[in-house]
Amino acid sequence: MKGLFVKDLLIMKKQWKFFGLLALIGFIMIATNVEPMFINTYLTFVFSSFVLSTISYDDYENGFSFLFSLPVSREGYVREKYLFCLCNAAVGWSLSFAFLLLTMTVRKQPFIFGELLMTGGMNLLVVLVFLGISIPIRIKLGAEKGKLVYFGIAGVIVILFVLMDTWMKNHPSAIAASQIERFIDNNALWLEGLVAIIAIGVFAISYAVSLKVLEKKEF
Amino acid sequence: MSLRLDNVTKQYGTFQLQCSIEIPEGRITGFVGPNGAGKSTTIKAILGLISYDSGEIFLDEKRQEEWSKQDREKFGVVLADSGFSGYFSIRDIVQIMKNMYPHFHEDIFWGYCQQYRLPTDKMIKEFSTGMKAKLHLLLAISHDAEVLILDEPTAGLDVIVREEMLDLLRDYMEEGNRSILISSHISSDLEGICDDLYMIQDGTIILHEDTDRLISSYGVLKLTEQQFNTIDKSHILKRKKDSFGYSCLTDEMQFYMENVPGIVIEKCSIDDVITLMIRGE
Repeated sequence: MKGLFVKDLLIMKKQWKFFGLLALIGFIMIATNVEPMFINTYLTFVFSSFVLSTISYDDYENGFSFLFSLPVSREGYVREKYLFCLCNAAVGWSLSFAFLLLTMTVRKQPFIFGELLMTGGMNLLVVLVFLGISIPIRIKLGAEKGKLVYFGIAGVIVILFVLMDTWMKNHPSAIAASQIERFIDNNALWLEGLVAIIAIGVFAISYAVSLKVLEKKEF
Repeated sequence: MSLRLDNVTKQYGTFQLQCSIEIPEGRITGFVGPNGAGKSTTIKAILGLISYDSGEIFLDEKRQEEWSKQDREKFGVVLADSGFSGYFSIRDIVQIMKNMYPHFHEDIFWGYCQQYRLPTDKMIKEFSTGMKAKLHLLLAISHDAEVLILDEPTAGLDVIVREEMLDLLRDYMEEGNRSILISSHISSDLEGICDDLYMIQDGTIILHEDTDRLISSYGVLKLTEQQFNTIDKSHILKRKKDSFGYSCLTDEMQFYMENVPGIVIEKCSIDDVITLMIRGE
């Protein structure tokens, strides 16, 4: 596993220009008064989804054949990818959260640390759910075919939102937006806990699915 | 260490692999056959890259399902069409190998890189075919592997690079507990290095012979129609109709030299054996 981890870190190192660009975008965001929490969402997402890029590197030019001819088991590979993903998510989230606090302090924006932590935590969980869905797809289908599935999922989400929005407009008395906001405010901690449980569940199922997919794959 | 495949079968549509091979300790075993005969499938089965329908693969007496990480470290592998990402440099790969193999000999590897003039900081995708081939082989032999599995390691290389690589393999075999399975299309390479050869066609092993015996006892009888009709055919493996009569492959050249006066017999190369075994009836 250590060897695989080093390999993925080296792939990351190869992309230092990309990370430089990210830092630049972060600064532009600060300079252009973008909502600071978005920086946290954006950087957590970009850092942790780097794991998808490493899977593509591994797959490139029959790379999997060679990789699994080394002392690398399929289980070891999947374990390393999820660990790498979590480490990246932790690093990305921590850095961007620190960045967020710094930005708000510099801008002299008032904030409650606990609330920021809750919102940031929610960002992290949503990103982990996204990756929990994406990793098995990337392992199963590769980068190109995988993109089609992502578009499909994004399409379904957009359609659901449109349907929900239309329904709410047609039934204004059923659930008022203010009611939803109030409900969220009153139950924030519970909701965060619920999302955390969902995220952990999705991640655990995702791990099992990825392992199954890889074990069935022939190279 | 020895490697053994006991009646390994794998069905791919209409193609069926059915293969038993033994690579004993201290020997270099060649694996030849036309494209699509099943060489790569066999190698993939050994490496666990594909599943197989039945049969067993043993490393010494240990079944493949029981192989540990330490057992897998004993393999050194060169594959024809894949390797480390082309975006890595040798320096990067050394970092990976050091953390992947507890017995990776970094000093020896750097020595080889210097000896074979391999650039250490250049991306592999910018390497020539020969440089890539050398790198793959050097990686395979630099971590105390006891079994080398080499799939077409010399394909596309000029004669000098090929000789360098074969010398590396000869040096590697100086420690007696090692073994090599090497598949190749270049019969001169195999003649020069292999102790025995397996020939595969349509997924089935059609010949297994010691290389020395192949070179000393195998020959091609050039027979007229009349000679062919009267000759003892008990040592004829394959025959092919020619303009003058028949070309017949025998594994007992001496027998015909002694018993059929005036017979034309040509010593044959591994290429001749392959051609007659595959094209002959």
